[in-house]
Amino acid sequence: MTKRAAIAIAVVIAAALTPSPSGAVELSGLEIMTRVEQREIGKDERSQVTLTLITKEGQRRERKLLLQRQGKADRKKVLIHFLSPADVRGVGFLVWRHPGKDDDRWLFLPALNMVRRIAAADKRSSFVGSDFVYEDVAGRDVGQDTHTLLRSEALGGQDCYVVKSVPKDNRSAEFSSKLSWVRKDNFVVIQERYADKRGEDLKLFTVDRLEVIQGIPTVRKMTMRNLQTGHRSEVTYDQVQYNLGLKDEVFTERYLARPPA
Amino acid sequence: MRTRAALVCTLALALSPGRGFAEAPGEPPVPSAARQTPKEAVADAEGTPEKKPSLLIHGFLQQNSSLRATRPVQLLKVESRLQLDLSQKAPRWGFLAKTDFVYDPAAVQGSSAHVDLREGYLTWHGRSLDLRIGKQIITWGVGDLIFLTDLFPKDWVSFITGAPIEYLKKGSTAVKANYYLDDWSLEAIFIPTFQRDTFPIGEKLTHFVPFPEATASRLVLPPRTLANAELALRASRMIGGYSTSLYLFRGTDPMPSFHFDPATTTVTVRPHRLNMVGASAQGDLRGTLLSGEFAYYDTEDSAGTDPEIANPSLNLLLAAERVLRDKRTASVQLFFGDMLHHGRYEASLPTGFPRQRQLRKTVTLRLRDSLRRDTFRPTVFLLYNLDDQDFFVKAEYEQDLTPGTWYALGVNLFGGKFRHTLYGQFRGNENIYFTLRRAF
Repeated sequence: MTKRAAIAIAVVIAAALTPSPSGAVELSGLEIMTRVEQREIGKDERSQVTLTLITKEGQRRERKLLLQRQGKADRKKVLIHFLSPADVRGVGFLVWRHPGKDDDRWLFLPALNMVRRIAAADKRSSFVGSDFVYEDVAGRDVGQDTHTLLRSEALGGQDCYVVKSVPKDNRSAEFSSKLSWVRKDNFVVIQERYADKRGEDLKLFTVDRLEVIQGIPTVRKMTMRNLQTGHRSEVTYDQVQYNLGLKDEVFTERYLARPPA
Repeated sequence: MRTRAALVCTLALALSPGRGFAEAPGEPPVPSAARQTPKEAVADAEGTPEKKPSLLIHGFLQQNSSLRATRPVQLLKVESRLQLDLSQKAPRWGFLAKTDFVYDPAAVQGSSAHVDLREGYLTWHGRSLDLRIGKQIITWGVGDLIFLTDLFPKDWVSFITGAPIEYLKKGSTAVKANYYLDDWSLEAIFIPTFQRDTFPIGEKLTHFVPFPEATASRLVLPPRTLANAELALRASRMIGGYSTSLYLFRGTDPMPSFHFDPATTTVTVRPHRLNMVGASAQGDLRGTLLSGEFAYYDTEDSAGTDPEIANPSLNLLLAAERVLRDKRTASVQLFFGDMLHHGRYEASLPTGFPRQRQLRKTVTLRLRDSLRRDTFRPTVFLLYNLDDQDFFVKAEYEQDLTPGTWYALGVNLFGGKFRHTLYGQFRGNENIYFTLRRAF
């Protein structure tokens, strides 16, 4: 077990042993965000994702992809195959996350029947042209930020922790600070507000639809808005299934090169 | 020169967006999830997988034109292409038939109208074994426009005249078996009949002709016998975070020899046997993608005494790729090719013939970017042969228009100090090309 994993488990155990949010003792910012990262999301998942990019003027661009995941946080493997539009149909993308080091990434180009490794991404770069950046999708380590619990407040009738996260290394993120609204009952982040390096509003993330599927609170629709450009990206997750028993071999070049029909 | 120029990985996930209209964004809403209490999704109407059609029909319509940019200014192609891609997939088996219908009144080579089966194969997937039988694109190695272990057929005319990069590769009619054992992936490919590369011939594309007095040419392909069938083996696995492969190839060298008979003024073009042993590794080192590839060519002229046939050689490729900022990516490659019996080669070379150096060195650079939400994708590729002093430059700009529709505008430049070198011979073929594709 790595040191990081041990710390994460210790934080979760410590948090579990503390009185409930309604009790006298509140969790710390780090404990809250660790529980967010470590919350139960199933051993694996398969879902069909629709990513819609919407300009300030309302023009829409849509792409669909099949997403398969194994593990979570910094020990996650993700396999993506694009289903549409037609010119990228079958293109595959495989990511292995590793604790404390750069991700391994593979790309499959069906027209060339070619699998190749690709360089580690700039984690601040846009994910397929959307308002989400690469690390929004792949995940950002809790330990990269300093987390402070600011207050508790209700958002849309739900009790939430409001946690401020500031990157320890200013160059490691596109934001200078982030406020997260974390539901107290299930530790799902339902809103995030990002500030840029000048401290001005940058982006707003909202969860628009949340359901429990197979006992797991599941985001079915979420939106990331760029507050400076008016552009936004909506993501919907359909046909969500957990704990399918996806084997390790699914997250290899063999299945990367075998796009779904 | 035997540089196995290679394949660009336009990593651009051509993630073309759609166009349409929706409501203008208003004030950021309160997340509705905050107002919901999660409830068990008993029946999710959208959770039912969509019923897929039994037969999928896809493809594209494409216009690809190329104009020679030097005198005589001339259209090298005005090609219209319809690709129909029929496929059916079941968990265990499937098939694919990808057929191109092509019309080009300015065709560089061949007829103005033709039908090309790009790929057509059956697949079968077992627990540990995958089979693919039929015409299929096969790509090996880690190089970017430098091929060492990939000896499968290529179309250099399409490449030179600005076709989309996938048309550099031609299909091989083959039986391919992949077996997966623990962390190992074993691939065996059987190709009954050698298929040669497509090289420039004729008048439209200039290229070096060592025998100007030749009046005729004769192509002699290996007889279609089992002994001349090609066999390729690859074993791959991850080692220490690096994707590593070992390669074996027994077949025919795609680069043929040219023999001139002064009595008949005829050039005989003849491919020769080639055995290859190779290895490659590719992986991340602190955010930089490192690649290495090695290949030893055991040619038919193993003694190295016939200057018309390639000498045995050792070939090495080293490469590094890194994302500079956002999606701007730079890569550099170094290639070294060592002719093993250079002394014998020189001793046997007729007087006056262009002489190859023992050690050949090539450097390439690529810069690519993806801008405006991945809808603008510029890329520049530079290749320079240090010994032959020739070069190749490809600069391209690709833009998405509507969902599934994109165009590309690019330029291919060739040059060099000598006419007989790989890229020096193409001086005069500099061209500007345009591609418009609508996929469906």
